[in-house]
Amino acid sequence: MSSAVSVRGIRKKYSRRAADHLGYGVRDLLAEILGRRRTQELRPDEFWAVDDVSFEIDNGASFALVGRNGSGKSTLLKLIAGLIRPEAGTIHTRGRIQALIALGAGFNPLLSGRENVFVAGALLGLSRQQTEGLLDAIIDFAEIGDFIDSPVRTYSSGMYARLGFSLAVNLEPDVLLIDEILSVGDFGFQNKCFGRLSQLKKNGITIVLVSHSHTRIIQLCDRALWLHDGKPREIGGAQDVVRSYLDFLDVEKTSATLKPAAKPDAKPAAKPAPATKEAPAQKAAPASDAGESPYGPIHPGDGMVDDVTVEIAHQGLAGGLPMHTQLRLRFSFRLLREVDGLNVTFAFYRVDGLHLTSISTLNGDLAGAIHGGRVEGEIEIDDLHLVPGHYVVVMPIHERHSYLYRGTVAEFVVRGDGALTWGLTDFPHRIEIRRS
Amino acid sequence: MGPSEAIYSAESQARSPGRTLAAMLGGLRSGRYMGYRLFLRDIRGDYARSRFAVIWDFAEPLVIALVFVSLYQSGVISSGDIDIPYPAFVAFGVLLWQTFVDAITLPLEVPRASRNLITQLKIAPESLLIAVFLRVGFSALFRIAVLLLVALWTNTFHPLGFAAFVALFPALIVCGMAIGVLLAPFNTLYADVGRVVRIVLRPLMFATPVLWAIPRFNFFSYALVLNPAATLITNLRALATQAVLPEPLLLVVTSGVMGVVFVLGWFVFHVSIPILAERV
Repeated sequence: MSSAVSVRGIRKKYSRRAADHLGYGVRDLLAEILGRRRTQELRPDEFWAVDDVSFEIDNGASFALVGRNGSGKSTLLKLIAGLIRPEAGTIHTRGRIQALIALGAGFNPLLSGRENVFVAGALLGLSRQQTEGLLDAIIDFAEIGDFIDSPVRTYSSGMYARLGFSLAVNLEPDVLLIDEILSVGDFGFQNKCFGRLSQLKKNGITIVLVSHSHTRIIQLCDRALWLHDGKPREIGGAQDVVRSYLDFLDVEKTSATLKPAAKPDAKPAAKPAPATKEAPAQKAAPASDAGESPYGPIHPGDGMVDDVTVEIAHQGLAGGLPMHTQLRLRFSFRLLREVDGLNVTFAFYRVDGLHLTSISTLNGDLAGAIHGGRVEGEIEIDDLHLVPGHYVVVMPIHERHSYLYRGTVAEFVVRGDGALTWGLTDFPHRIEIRRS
Repeated sequence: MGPSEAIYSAESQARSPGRTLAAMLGGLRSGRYMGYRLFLRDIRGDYARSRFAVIWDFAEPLVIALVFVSLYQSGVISSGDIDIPYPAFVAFGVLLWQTFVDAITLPLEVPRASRNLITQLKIAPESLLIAVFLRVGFSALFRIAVLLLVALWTNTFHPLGFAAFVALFPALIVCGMAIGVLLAPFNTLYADVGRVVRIVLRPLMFATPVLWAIPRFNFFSYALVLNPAATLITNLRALATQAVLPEPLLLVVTSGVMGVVFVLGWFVFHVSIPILAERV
């Protein structure tokens, strides 16, 4: 089978501070005009955005580029599309290539959707007759009905993107390059776009996909390349490469976290945290001032609560908690005054601030009136069915519904076991397939 | 290599002049409809925001012309040695000059204005040039209509001369575009280039036979030889109003030189787009 795309030893460099080095552009431009080779050396503030990448994509195959933001995926896609030139190496493409780097390229917001379809069609290489032939299909697919004759500036962002995508996927080029545009519109439209791409694949169109949706990659693509800091890290079957990449992300998160809960709302602990055989305890120190955090308001507990300690009791905590493990949280704090109606809550957040759930004594008024002094307790979670990720525990201590203290008391990482997961939780489940 | 095959490498396109020239001509062919659509898009976009977009294209030069006609009639300025009524002289001068200025300044901004296109779509650079040419030509059509009325009003209308004037008018646009297209990539990297061009153009109008005839046998008459706008304006104006070409040889030489500059500018523009796509 012949290759639709052949990439050999490609290198591409960029400047981190292009505005400070306008001269680089002029020098590169003059080199191009005068027939000289652009310098292979890295000048100050330059870096290799794509560094020595080689691969082949067979005709009709679907190929994914994965990697973190800034790993060089989009740059590589632009190189394949011929939008920018490499510093070294060769790219050979066969067939009509169409790049979907962004949706609605060439649209004028003052013109109607219909007029913009003709503009964009021309930019994608269609004649007027060809665009007219596709117009109904484009309008139908975009689901914008009578709005096709309204100025594009009146469209919602979803409508705008739907029209752009609809135009692009109705063309059927030989090679389709897609840069992270499958997240447009609502979920229904995303599925529709994905279905259309699957159809294009069945029609024998070669697809090169850049996406952070690992599910989509596995479903659509045969092979994948994982780029890391511009360098190829792994190339192979899409599922294997995505799994390696996700494992890498898990390990990276684990090594970057699991330190004492030194959050913006916390000061260094006054006393060493009590050590256990199972895992180091995490000392929660009161914040100096009340304020906001990604996890809600912070109350340092001045004059009401001190010496808050929370311990995640689990062996091997430092390496990350396995999925579906049993989790125990032991807590201890000292009340500095009499409290009538004490309650303790543990709020679980994803590290980006998404509130997942809370476990609280408010549901049973378990503590009641307490005349000051030390309070200790334990929470047991039988099955921690969170997907792999980095999580934060916030502990409010309150008198009825008024905060006495509220601060970040623990962080933990859930590591994957090799199985693919999606969303927020991984329900304990059993799948049975019956064949008739 | 098949027609739909492409090879991208680090090698400069200038090292394969034959292939680059073929790509330029191919872009001219394939970019015609694309350029036309881009032109329509821009024109319709302008009209969507302005009821009098056409008028603004020639309002400023006409106001300048009216001011100078008033100054001339009140004896404040002298026209120099001219063979046609001053209103016709100055109207032709300013409207031709404005077209020349548009043809220089519009291409200057094209790569930056087309940022979304050149960074997201593989389009023929020639389509951008065609769109600019049509945009300047569109404005010129209305200016030519105004000049036709001026010629009729001042009894300087010669049907054959005016027809030849219209036929040669694109040479003025190509001449201006030659400079604009050549400098456009550099202006995209350094906006200072465009500022310098605009600063130079304003006084250059007074050193060009736009508002008055430049006397022969002084410094400016020699400088005029190097000023392509002077040659083109002088000859086009005389052709339209008197059906004569006062400096045919100079016109041919100027057009030839500017034609070479245009091809050079076109080449520079063509090979620079991938470089600019990284930096706009």
